[in-house]
Amino acid sequence: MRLSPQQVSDIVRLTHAHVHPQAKVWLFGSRVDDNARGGDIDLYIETPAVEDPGLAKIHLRLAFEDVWGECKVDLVLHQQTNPEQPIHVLARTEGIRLD
Amino acid sequence: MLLNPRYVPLLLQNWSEVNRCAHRLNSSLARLQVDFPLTGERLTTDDESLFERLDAFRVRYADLQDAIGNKLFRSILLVLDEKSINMADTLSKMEKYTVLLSVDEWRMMREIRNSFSHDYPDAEQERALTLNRAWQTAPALLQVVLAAEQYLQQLGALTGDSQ
Repeated sequence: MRLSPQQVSDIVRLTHAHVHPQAKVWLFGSRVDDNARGGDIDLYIETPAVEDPGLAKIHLRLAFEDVWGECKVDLVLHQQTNPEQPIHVLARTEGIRLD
Repeated sequence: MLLNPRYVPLLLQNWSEVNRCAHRLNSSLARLQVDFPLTGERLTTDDESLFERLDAFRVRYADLQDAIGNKLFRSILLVLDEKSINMADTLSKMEKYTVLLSVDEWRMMREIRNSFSHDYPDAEQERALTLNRAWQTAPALLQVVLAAEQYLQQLGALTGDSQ
């Protein structure tokens, strides 16, 4: 996994603050691969229902930018009350749980 | 103010693009006036005409955001011979020139624009909320164009007074 311990800690802390305190977070995509280089940070977040998931994602991305500076983070957020999509299964099974 | 003449044609080209995008976004706002605010339920209908209007609105919102953020801001700095170390610095300078009312408001509009293209909304309700957010902030996006026009007029960039 190509994330520093500080980045992992920031991701978990900010996700709990801006999405839901009980949200679970996985890293998936190219950053999982130790041999790859660069690449966006792809996060899959599973959460109990939130009022406005789109706004939660916006606040979370802005919070990452405040802490890390300019960065490219793609977020897939799945509310457990909604049906699961193929991307959710893929991210969870191929990803690494961060929290 | 003396502007770097090398970059004035680029600024004018980008300004023209911003205006074209703003005009198109304004047309979309007029055509969608009766449809907003949207509900998730409305997005489950098979109203193809509504979806075409919404698709045009999404694209035009994003196009205007891109034309301002990726082109206009940079060309303003170029004609002023100002260096920018990163996007945060560019935005801070635009706020100083009163082209932006608030850096945070701009960042929010940029994230709304990004949420059209990068996210996987897992329900119609979420799509509706995202489109409503764009609808609510579209006037502020258009206001940036007006503020930029005022600033460019002060610089004399639109009248040739700068050269």
